[in-house]
Amino acid sequence: MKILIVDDSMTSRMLFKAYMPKDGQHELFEATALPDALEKMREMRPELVVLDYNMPEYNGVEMAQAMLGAGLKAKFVLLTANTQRTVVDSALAVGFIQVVEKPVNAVKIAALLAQVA
Amino acid sequence: MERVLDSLVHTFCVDCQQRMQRVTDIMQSGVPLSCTQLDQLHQEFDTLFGGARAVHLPEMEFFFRSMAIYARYLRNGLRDGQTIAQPAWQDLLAGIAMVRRCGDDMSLCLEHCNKHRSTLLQAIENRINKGDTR
Repeated sequence: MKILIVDDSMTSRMLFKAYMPKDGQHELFEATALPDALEKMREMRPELVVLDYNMPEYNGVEMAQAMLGAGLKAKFVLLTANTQRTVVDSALAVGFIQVVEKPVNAVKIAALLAQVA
Repeated sequence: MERVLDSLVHTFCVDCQQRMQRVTDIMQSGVPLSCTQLDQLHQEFDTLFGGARAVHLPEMEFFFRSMAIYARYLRNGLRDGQTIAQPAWQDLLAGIAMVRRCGDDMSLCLEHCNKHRSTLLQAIENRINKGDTR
């Protein structure tokens, strides 16, 4: 599965990569901001897009809206340390399939991939 | 897994220094700080709080969480057109300077600046408890 992770935090992107199963089944791409993410979506056509919520300029939900507005379809997952009801609701309203609480670990990522597969 | 964690801590330190440079630029771009600049500071500290938690550095996690809370607290205390006062600006700057001195070794920094960090966080907590928003 092609996966795009969009997070301005180098640490979070690396953590996600470190905990991804090393089974050769998945290809991970990274982006740090909206323009980069849109470009990677057009080029790589990921099936799953994992977005951080707290980012400068646009939050993860706003980015997903921009992607959908540009006609780019994928399954969206929100990563956040902020699981306030308003954040979760705004994500679900846009069509996110899941909200995963940060920090991620191997168990959370495995569960996520199993759900998406 | 230990090697992965070491690598993650190193990445966090690099990330941290880059963000501290941005935060320093924000601090120097317009004194005193506006609401927008405090929002940017909050975003940077909050991201580092998440990063520190991810790489199991609880002292830094607590520190960045406190700094993020303080930036949000100061921002919420400002009305349109208001700016923060010099003591609050100095608290923020002291916290940033402390992190920048850590360089690439956050664990070493934690040992060296433990007392300084506690003093700063206590001062911030006192300011918040007094309701001193400016």
